Amino acid sequence: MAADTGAVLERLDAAAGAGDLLAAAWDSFEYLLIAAEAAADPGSASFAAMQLAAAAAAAGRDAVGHAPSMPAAAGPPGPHGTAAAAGLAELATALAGRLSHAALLAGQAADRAAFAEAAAEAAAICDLLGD
Amino acid sequence: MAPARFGELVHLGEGRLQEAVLRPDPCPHGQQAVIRQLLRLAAVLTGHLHDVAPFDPATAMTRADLTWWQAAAIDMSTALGSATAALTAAAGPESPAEDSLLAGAATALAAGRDLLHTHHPPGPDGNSLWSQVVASPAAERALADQVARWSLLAALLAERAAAAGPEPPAGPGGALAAAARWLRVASAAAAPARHADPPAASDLVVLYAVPAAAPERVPPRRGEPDDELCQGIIASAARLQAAAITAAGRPAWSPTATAGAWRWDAAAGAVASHLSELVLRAAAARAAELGLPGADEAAAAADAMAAAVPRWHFLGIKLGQVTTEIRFLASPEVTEASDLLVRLGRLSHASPAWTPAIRDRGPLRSPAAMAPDPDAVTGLLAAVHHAACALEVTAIADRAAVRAAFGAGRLHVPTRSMPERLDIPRPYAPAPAGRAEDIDGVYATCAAAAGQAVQALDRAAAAAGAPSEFLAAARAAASARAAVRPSLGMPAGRVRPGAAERDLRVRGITDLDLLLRAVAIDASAQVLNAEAGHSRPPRPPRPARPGPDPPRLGRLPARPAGRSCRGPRTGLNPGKPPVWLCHINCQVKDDVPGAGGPRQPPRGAARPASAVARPGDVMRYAL
Repeated sequence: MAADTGAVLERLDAAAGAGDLLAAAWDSFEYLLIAAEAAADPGSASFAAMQLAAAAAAAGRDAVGHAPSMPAAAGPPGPHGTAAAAGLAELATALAGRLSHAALLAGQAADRAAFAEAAAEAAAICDLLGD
Repeated sequence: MAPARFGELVHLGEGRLQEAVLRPDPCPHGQQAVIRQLLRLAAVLTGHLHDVAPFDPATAMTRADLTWWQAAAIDMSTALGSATAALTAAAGPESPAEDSLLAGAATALAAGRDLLHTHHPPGPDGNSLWSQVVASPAAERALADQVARWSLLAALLAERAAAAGPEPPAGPGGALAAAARWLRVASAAAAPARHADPPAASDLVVLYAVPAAAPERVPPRRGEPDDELCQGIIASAARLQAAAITAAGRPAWSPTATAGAWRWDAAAGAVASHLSELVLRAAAARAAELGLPGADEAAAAADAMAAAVPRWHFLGIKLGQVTTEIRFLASPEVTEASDLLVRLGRLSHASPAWTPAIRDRGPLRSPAAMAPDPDAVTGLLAAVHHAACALEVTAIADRAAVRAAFGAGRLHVPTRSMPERLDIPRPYAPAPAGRAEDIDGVYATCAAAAGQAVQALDRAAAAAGAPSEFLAAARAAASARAAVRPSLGMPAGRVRPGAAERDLRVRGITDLDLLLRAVAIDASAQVLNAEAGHSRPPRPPRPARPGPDPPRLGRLPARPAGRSCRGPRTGLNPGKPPVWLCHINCQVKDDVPGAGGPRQPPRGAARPASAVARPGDVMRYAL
């Protein structure tokens, strides 16, 4: 697994509270978006999967971005990098798990909906990139 | 299974009509059976004409925006109405035996009309390529011209049937003879339009190519054979195109207009273009192996498709930097695009369960497996051709939607993508104009690349004789579609009535015959005034009605090369003869077979208005 992917996963694991998790999820989706866009090479057999995974990552990022508990002030940009499909799938799997769990526990209904929607996008990425 | 096309039904109906005309016994089940079916046929033809010109004569004469063929359709409808009246008067009780040949002809032509109606949209402007084609001037010309031909066949049949019974004018034979004359008039009424705005061969090709609209989505299923995959791609492409056009017409605040949907379209565009390239390379290779024409053109189309892939990819990246206040919702475009790319993937890969997921990928199919015979090669080309057209339309439609969303203040960017000095305390901020312009520029290059792929496929389809070679003509016809298809009762283009007509209308007279005579008198008075040099100064030309200079009475306006055919004709156009006057002066009779064929309109003195004051006179003259 790439070091950057590990950093994103650590941040995700360390997130506490809805706001923190939303910000960590935002960074995770951003990471997935940029990495999938970079990996989308027409010469590769995973071209279609990477293209659609990038679209799903953007949709997931927007889902958490619109949640009411999303921190108002923007934090520093999260880590960016490249990773193989397996690494991205692992990150997406972890993301889907955390978000699904948060969707059950969040206090506000709009936050729960945002978590659930983002979890679905993360699961779609797992489905596209997983072996 | 491929959808039925209009041309197939026409061939069926026209074939039966010709067979009925040529059969040794023109009425094997008696004259009444022929009368019954001719009544049906006349109703069907009138329906087709009503689709070309949805006006009654009284409404039509007050319009200044009729095309040549719309005016011809109105005159043809009038003549068909007279034929119907003659037949109805003689129609007896139900014949025990039905004239199945004629009944089949009428049914097939009615089914053809039903097929065209599957593209009649709920809204005024249509939502698919074919609904635009059906409403295009090209289809209007071709359809009205076809109805004139069918009217002539019906006239020949009625004449033969009349002669087969007791001596006219007594009984059904007399009615058939009268109907035959009116049917000939209907056929001949197309002559002025044929002269002024002749139908091109491509008009008929496009009209015949109109397919029945796909009623509902058929999702891909595992193990579809190749021909079903190709038909599925064509159906998905048509539905995607219709969905994209419909989406572009939605208001800027539509909840289905979301950044997520645009991004998904861009991703699907990249994947579909890539898969199309793979299919085209296989088709080109097989065409070369089999010695078929179009191999080089198919290879060039593959190159053009490959060039579109990075454009779509870059567009996806750009769209990933913006969002809308409404998040991604599944829309019809997304669903249809999904079907399209799944079928393209299953066509190009050796996995009957191919999906974009990595676990479902399979090896590429060999060209020989993808296209085992020449028909398969052209089938692949046609499928990809339709897909490419849909992708181009999607790019254009999404570009318009993004522009509209930006104009409505719905486009936002993540605050993190903004310079830190701005210090915006929210996750999103309104998209700056520069960002929107940037995206618009990328859309433009993407649409251009998709358009170049379509043009390359136009050439490949034409070279290979693929079933989609009509698409280029269909797109041209759709782009030339009339801006507004007027409906009955719309006041657009209404011209101020002349003095005689005004006088009648003020007195509350609505008799059509009297009104038509008044219009003729007004038109003649206008011409007389103009020739005497006492006319009022001419009105400034209307920019929306380009057309030839007002003709002198007794002459048909010559059609300058490259000029629009719209708007030169109505009885109320100042200085122009009324519609039926044109018919007289261009010798309706000339179009009757056996009379020497159509001739150029005479360039002589005008007929006195008194000689043409009654519509009935026109018909008598024609006969």
